[in-house]
Amino acid sequence: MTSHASLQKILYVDDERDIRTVARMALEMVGKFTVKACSSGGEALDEFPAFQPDLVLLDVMMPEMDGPTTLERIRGLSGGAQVPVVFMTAKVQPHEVAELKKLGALDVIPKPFDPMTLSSAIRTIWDGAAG
Amino acid sequence: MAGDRDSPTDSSFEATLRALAANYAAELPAKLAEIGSMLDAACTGAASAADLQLLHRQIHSLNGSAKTFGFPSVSDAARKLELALVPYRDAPATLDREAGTALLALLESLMVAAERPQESAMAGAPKAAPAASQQPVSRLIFLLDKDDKEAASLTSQLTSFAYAVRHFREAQELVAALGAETPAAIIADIDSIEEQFSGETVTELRQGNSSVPMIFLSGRGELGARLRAARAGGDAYFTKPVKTGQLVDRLDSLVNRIKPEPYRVLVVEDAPAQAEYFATVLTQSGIRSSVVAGPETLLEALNDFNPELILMDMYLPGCTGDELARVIRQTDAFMSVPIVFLSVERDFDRQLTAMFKGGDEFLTKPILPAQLVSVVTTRVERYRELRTLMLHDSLTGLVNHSRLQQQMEIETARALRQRHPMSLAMIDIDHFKQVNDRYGHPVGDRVLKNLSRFLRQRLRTSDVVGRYGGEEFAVILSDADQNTARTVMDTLRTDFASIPHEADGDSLKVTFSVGIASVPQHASVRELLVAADQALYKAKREGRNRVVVDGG
Repeated sequence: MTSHASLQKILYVDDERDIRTVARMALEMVGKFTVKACSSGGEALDEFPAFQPDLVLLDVMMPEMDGPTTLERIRGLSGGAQVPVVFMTAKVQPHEVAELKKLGALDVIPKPFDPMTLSSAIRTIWDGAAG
Repeated sequence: MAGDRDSPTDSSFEATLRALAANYAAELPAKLAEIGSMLDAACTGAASAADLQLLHRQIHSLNGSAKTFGFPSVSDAARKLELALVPYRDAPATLDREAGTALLALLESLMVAAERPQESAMAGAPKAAPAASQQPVSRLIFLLDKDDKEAASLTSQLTSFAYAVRHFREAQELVAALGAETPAAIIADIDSIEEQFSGETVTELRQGNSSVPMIFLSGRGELGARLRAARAGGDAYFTKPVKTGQLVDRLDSLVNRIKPEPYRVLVVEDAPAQAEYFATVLTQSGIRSSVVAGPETLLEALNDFNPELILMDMYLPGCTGDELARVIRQTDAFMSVPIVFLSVERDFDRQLTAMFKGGDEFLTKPILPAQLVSVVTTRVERYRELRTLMLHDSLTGLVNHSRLQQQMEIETARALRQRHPMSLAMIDIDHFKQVNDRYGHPVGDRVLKNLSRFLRQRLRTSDVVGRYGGEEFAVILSDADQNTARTVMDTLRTDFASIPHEADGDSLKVTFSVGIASVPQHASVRELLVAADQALYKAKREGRNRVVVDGG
């Protein structure tokens, strides 16, 4: 993994408006992160080059471009080859988590999430990868 | 709200969250209706693969969001539906009538879940729950009684059986309190609330708490009053003066009926999706399950999980279910555990053969959740009853002498292996013969029952309480050294001595003596028994109503 300075900028992608609002606010206000929230994989690909996030938080199931496809495309962008990616998805089956990790994701955060602990969950994943 | 968290919460965040949660609640019915009509279409074969994918995404989204906005059971129900739908997502043609029925049943429970009141949108954070939910809710009793003296007397009696009692004088106060916490039962004195007592009052009392048992107390025993109480939804009716023992017996059974120890079901299934499906359905019904994929890990799982029922696929890698059933039946401990086979097998002869070889029931896939839960529940219930008869003392319900011996062997071996302390306490009721001679055997039996109930309630669930014989009881205190055991038993001794036992309108108090012996001072069951017995003898000789530790 890349050398970890501190985690500051998060690019967050989710197609659901309300969930996006809650997660963005939770990350900004509880976690004090700088967050760019996108409503689709396409929008995330557009924003990525200029924003250069420290971490990408990706919803898995989205219409048109899903999370795994978005991840694959990000890997092809400048600065995207090594960026840590964390998936967020509704818990369904254990083997799905394993498959998502196989795609190169750092970890998977289960939905529904608790807004109050979302930031600390991400920090734990980040610190784990750094150590 | 955020007081015990690391990061302070911005109040505007909470306000936004609340607003979004309200919005979510408002939109939920429309979302469900849409899912409903899409699923209907899918089940009648009128949906394309694209429709099904959209449907899947909608359900998935509910699963992933509802809990965040205060609808945890909607998340759970959506998850169940999603799991069941996934196999058909890319192949709508395989969605036949039978599968459709199962999906629609899951939709139904999703709709029901959506009708439950919304929790705080922060409910994901258990710390934010009302303080009252932190105390063991299962033993909290709401008492409605206008007579303070009567209420105080009932409270003190119930408290000695480890119930916490909250007293209300007015039905309205009680209703208001129900909003904040759920008691294990409501006891209402009908006479003192006569003017308030009506079907509506009870409906109001139980608003949103329809599973809370209600016990009515009344000075009148005539049928009319009883009928009214029963029609109003009362679970039990006692005429005054109330016999505490009977009331506590009833409370125990009503409270336990709601929260029995969860059933343990072992699922033997090699297809992960199926296994996950069964586990989910069982978990949703409060049944604990453990999954093993094949025969290799089965024996280990039997010992570790100690299942009360085994759900087993008929066709497993390397062997068949009926072969495996025979293997399980070779183990003494699982000779009578119910085994339920699962299969797509429709050949009746084969089903019969499988049952003959050690199975108890045969379920044909696909299995509806309600069907699975009902088979599991009835089988395990009966299995438990049988085991209780086999292993427990019929008067007190405690484990019997032979089971106690077994348990002592197990606990002693464990303590020695783990190098942990363990204590054995032998309890003997003082002057029990005089109780029997003076008041008769029914009263003596009541004292025995009271003591056993008292011990069971006051000790940890990890402790074993058994009737050793006659008026002698034994307690195995795991992880307790001599001093801890002495303190625990001495508190019990003092508290028990203050409990009045009814005896034909009269009441009597009874004491007991205790002898304690411990590991590591003793290293075998035989030594422990001899030492505890000697200590008990010493306690009796020194004047009874005391605790003596071996060597002390």
